Amino acid sequence: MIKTISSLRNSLVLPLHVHIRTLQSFSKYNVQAASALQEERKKPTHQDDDEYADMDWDNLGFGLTPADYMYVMKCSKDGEFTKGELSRFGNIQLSPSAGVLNYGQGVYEGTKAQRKENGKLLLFRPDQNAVRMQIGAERMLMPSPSVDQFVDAVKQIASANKRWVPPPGKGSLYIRPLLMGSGPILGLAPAPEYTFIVYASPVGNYFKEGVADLNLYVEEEYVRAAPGGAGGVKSITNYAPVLKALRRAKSRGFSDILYLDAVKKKYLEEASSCNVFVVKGRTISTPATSGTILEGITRKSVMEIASDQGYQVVEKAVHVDEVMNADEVFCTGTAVGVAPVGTITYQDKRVGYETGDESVCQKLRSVLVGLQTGTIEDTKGWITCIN
Amino acid sequence: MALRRLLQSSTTSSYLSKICTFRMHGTKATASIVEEHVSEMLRSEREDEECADVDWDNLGFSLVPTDYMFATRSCREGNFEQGCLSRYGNMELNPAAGILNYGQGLIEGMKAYRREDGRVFMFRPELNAMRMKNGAERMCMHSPSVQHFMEGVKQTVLANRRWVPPPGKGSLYLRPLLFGSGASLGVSAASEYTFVVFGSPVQNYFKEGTAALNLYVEEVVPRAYLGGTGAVKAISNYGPVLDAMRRAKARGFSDVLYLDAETKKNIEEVSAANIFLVKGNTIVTPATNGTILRGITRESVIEIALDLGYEVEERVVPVAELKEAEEVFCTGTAAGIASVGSITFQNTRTEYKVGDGLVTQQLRSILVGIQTGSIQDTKNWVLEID
Repeated sequence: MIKTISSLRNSLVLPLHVHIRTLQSFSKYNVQAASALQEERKKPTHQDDDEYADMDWDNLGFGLTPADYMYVMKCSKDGEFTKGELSRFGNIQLSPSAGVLNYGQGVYEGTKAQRKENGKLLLFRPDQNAVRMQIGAERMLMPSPSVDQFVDAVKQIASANKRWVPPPGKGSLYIRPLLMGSGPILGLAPAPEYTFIVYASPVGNYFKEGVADLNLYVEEEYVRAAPGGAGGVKSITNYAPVLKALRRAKSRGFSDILYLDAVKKKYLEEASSCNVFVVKGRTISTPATSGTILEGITRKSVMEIASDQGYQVVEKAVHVDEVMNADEVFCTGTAVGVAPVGTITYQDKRVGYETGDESVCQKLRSVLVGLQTGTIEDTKGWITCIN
Repeated sequence: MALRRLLQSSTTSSYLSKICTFRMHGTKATASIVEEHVSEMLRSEREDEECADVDWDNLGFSLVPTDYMFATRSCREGNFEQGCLSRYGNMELNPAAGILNYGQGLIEGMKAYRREDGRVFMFRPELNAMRMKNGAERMCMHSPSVQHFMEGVKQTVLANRRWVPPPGKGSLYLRPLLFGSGASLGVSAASEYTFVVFGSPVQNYFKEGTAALNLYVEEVVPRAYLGGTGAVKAISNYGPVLDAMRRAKARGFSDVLYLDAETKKNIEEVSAANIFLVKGNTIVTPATNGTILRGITRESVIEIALDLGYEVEERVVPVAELKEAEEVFCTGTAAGIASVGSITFQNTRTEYKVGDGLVTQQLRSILVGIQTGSIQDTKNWVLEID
């Protein structure tokens, strides 16, 4: 708002004071504009030497609080991504005919930066997100940043926004890389130009249940993905179609939804934004990623941790009946971490699972969190440390 | 008063876009002055109207930026502001907008045609408005009312009148677009939506021009699935098929014909058009049972065919029936009624009759006649935009 008034002021020919007074009085007639102006003024000015941003670190949820800086890099359809730059977080400019807006040509990623007690920042396997974005970009006919460019951008975002990384134990800085067809296109075809953006926000727990057990609902009407579709990549097109199912489940008190396969409607796939694991005795099963399921990085890591701990880890088609007979169920994702499932409701049956400190879920979670926060030694080269 | 003088004496367009930014932030008083001025300006432009400087004989389906676009926004409760025209140009979006991160968007496609007497008409635009409304419900989005949609489209057509091609040279394609512009981090519906309408003069959608199409039956990539969004014009239906289209086009095909996701045995539709098979006096098209977009051209063609005495069947169409058809055609706003010369399924290429004197041509002549005014419109399908 302020910017617009001043740019208009600059180009006025007639007496300025008349126009400024007239324009400022217009804002009086609109409470929304006036209060937006007030909010703008209230925001603390950025102090480079503040260790922490002014946030209530004890009450972080998963709402958006944009960190100061974002990263932007562009590319033409057949070209390479040119050097990207940090800029203050703010609106981007897009053509109304951009490929992402008209045809959903976009993929995104999610990763986190943690603050260690000694002040260093830790990233967890960002190279995996980089590779996954490349695979997704190829599926959606987009060029993508190289692994080095992606990891460098994530590192820059973490460093530049250091004061937004919560104190140890209070949460993390969620980092959102986003790749979109930004060039204009009319007929259905790939966009002629692409933009790679990274922005970030401090977060606590993903689910409103906090760290309490989740209650999931097995969805039989809506489907998240079909064979041959884009379910196996982190395409933006996988999300809006499930909002309706998600809203319905949440209104009935569930935390999230478990989707079934599109063809037989009998095999477990994943939840809206996390993978799912089923524990029975010493065997941990998870649906195989055969094209419809997103290959989670947390999923992959948990499988390796479980294997190291001596569990039998099986990737296979998991029938919904197996889930209903399991000892434990848990979800994995960057945003959700390793989240225990308390109950699953399928048709009219509601089944409860073991949770709590002695559970397999909790054991695996402790190891993962220990690695991510640097309290357990990283022998696998999963942690990238930023000073 | 001072602002009014300012608008008249300066470069209107640059101020319009700046002042429209005020409007987008809800400054109602400024907005009404802008709107009044825009109407005055449009009236004076129309008086000495010329067609835009375009090579009308060589229009394809590429974006030709026109002068104005319409935009409006909704608030948390879901009510849309009146909206206004601004110069066609970039919009500002929060990087965390629902559409960019979670694909929360719907499109529409419509055309405005210029007649010999200079008047401009659209074809069944209220059906697009209703289809967007239904789509919004499926995608948990707020949508403008049918009336508001129509108002936005009308304003866009009128403001870009000089871009409506001369009769017979094409049409002004309109793209209404509804998207989640509000920001969120976790997967959720946006709390704010933006509705824009922009246009571009176009002629033929396919690079084949009016020549018959060669389609490829895609067996790996489905366009939609039961419980998905195939039946609404969600942007999420399109990005995932770009790969199948590219592969088909690289092998010389015009477009892709998709099969159902569940059995891979029945035909559904083409990337951006419905499909019809003709055999004798019977015209068959896949039923819209939740995965197929209910095309407005499709619906109109069904009615025209019934009027002409054809038997029209909307049902499941097994891919095996492709071999038995005499004619095949596609329908869509962009595609019109496009003849299909061949369809290749696995390694078999089936060819179809094309040319004059056929059912396809008969249906096309009537539809185009109604749209362009050379055939009397007894169904109230065309609407004059004035």
